[in-house]
Amino acid sequence: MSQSSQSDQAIATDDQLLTRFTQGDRLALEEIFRRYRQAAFRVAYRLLGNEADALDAVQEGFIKALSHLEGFQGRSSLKTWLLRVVSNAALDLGRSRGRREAVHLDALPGALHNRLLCPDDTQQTLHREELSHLLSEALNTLSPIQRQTFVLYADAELSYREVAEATGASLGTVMSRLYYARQKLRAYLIQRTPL
Amino acid sequence: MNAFPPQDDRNDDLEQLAEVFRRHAPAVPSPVQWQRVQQAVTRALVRPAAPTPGLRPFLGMVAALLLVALGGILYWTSLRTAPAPLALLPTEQLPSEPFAVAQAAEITIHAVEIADADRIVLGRFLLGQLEFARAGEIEVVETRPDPAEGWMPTIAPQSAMPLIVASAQEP
Repeated sequence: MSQSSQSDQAIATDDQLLTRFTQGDRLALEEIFRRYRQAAFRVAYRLLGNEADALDAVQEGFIKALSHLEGFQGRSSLKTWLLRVVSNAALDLGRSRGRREAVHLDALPGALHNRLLCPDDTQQTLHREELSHLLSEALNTLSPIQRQTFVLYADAELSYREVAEATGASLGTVMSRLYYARQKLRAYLIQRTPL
Repeated sequence: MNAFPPQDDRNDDLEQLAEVFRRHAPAVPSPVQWQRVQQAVTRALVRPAAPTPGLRPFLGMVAALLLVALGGILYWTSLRTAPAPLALLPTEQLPSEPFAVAQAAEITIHAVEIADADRIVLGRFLLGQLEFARAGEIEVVETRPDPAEGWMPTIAPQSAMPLIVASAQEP
């Protein structure tokens, strides 16, 4: 990519990129992918629990979303549209493959498990791993639709209205789902992390 | 909806919880993994380059000649052969049931117009005979919270909207 086209990509709006993509511009597609792949991956990972499945969902979601642009029609932002299709692809994948956790504390390799029991310099890292696992477990207490709603709000940082657009639900339904998701998550985390 | 936090104000409690999840985001895939996914997306979405302009007129001419030749052959053949009689099924053998063309799991809804939202039923099938009723014709005996999401159903007694209820008696 030349220097000038790089600066073009940096200032291009989503609408401009979409127009160029529909005209067959490969660089525009790459820029769209680069711009939203991280948010899409975070959402898919939270819904599926492991990296390999999450990457599959991201791939399938981007292909579906960008090959069905007639369903987009600019009523929401491109980010919302992509996350809607990626999260639905992740839920579909989860239904067919099941939600497979990448890390189970019980199934940790012996050496790692021993380090958990005998904290040393790696305590901080392991604490993070443990907490990440705990958050993943807490997400498992939610129904798939509650999990999708919460993850779009928390990990993808969508507003209530954007979550409503991404899930096809009303604003009130989104608020209700977030309310109950918060209750369940808090209850689980408080129960598992007594202070 | 007063029980829920006000719209667009990120509720402090919920926001704190969301922040914990953001701070513990999953590890970023490696550049090689990203490249693999990006290549797959590009392969699926970007068409291969069209033939060079120099060849285009020539290819078009060849295609046109082939079409003319094919049309001539078909016309000549049709003049020489009588049409075969159509094989019709007896009426009693015609399928009378609608065919299931897709399973629910095979359908992905990409977008729904707001106006059509109330015409779509997601989730389990409604089985049995369906009847229309108005809110005034329904006596609420008991309400229970939704098993998945916990909310309580409500009914507006003065609503003029027709409701669809499953018949008590199976056909």
